[in-house]
Amino acid sequence: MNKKKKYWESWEIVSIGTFAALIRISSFLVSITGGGMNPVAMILKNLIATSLLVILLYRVRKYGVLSLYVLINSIMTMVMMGRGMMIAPMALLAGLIGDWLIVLLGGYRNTAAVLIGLGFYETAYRIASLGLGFLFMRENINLLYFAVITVSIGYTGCIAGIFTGMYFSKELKHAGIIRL
Amino acid sequence: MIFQNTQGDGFIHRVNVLTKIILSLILSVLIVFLHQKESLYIFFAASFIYAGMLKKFKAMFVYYLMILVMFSISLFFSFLMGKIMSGHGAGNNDFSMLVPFLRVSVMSNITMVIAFSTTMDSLINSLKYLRLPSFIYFPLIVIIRFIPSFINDVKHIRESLKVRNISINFLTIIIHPFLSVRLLIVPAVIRALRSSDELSIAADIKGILESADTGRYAAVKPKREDFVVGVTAVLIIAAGLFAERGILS
Repeated sequence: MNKKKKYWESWEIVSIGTFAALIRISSFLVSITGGGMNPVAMILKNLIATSLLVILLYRVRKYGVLSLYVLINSIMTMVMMGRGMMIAPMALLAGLIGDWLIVLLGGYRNTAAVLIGLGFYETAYRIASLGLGFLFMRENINLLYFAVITVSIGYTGCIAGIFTGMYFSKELKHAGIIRL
Repeated sequence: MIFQNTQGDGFIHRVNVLTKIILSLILSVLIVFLHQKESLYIFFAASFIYAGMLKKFKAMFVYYLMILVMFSISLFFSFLMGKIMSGHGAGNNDFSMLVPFLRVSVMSNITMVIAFSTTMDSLINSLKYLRLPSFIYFPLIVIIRFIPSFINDVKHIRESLKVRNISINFLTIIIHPFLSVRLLIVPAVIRALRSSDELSIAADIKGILESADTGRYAAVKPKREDFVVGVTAVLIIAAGLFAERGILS
């Protein structure tokens, strides 16, 4: 019997689920150990999350992996932590464009393409967060200054995370855990 | 635990997760456009009662405390920036300070209900009912299966660090951030990658993905509670919109 081959293989779906949980728990661990509003912990939290996302992109090299991760992460954040409902559509759109950019710039085997795609997603996500913050606080725009500071600190960690993620991926390749 | 998800039998627990998510989506769009005192008070009061039906008052208190702390820090920065840039004051009136707080509180109340009264199982069941493809809900099943084993892995890593007389705490994170990552996160990632491989092999052997799209294990039908919440929500939204347009004021 000829069965239509599914686009996603089981190990890819399992990897996305595993990394979504791993990113959430690692960020939570750093937050509770380092204190919530501590800048070092904020940078480290974002650095780890983005590094793990880079590893996921290197592990599952298929169009839509970033979008599917964002979708699963949004559902998990909403149900487990009760937040992220409003940012989810914008994050998904940023993920879709990020995936599209990676394919357009040479695919998931091209390091620069992955870097630009992920960089776009992280930047667009932060801009969307600030835009949402603006909509919520538009009556008193000065309240947004604090949000801009915290988002900027987190963004620094994200950008550093893209590069540390690539370093991690190379190390994991040497260990034979992922294929580059 | 304060933030533990409860599988209670109260009214709010019997409301379908899809009803709660649809309500949250509608309100998340609506709340951005509201700016009148009356409409925001209506939505805040209604959402407060809705969240209060969970009877998790300690969690609500902690939630509100967190929102207040965040707003206090924001207000401090707002005050500071107002001082630096003279003529660009902290706010036009008292209500303009309250509006962002009310908006965030309404959304927090609504999502708090989803977080505390919904189990992953009921969410997956509802997603299956919508005939969503397996690649959407299967990772959620993986997350449920993976989180407890990963927490166990983290405990093992911490114990192995204790054996070597190393402890990861607030100071270690501040003074040696990269060493902390190397000691805690790197072994966790390696273990997670191994778990991921084991889980995918198990899924393949059991043929979980092959059978995932064939049926659902329990029927999800709208209940009386869904209609009650739906009709009440429509009435409150209508009242809020009337208040926004100044008809009630």
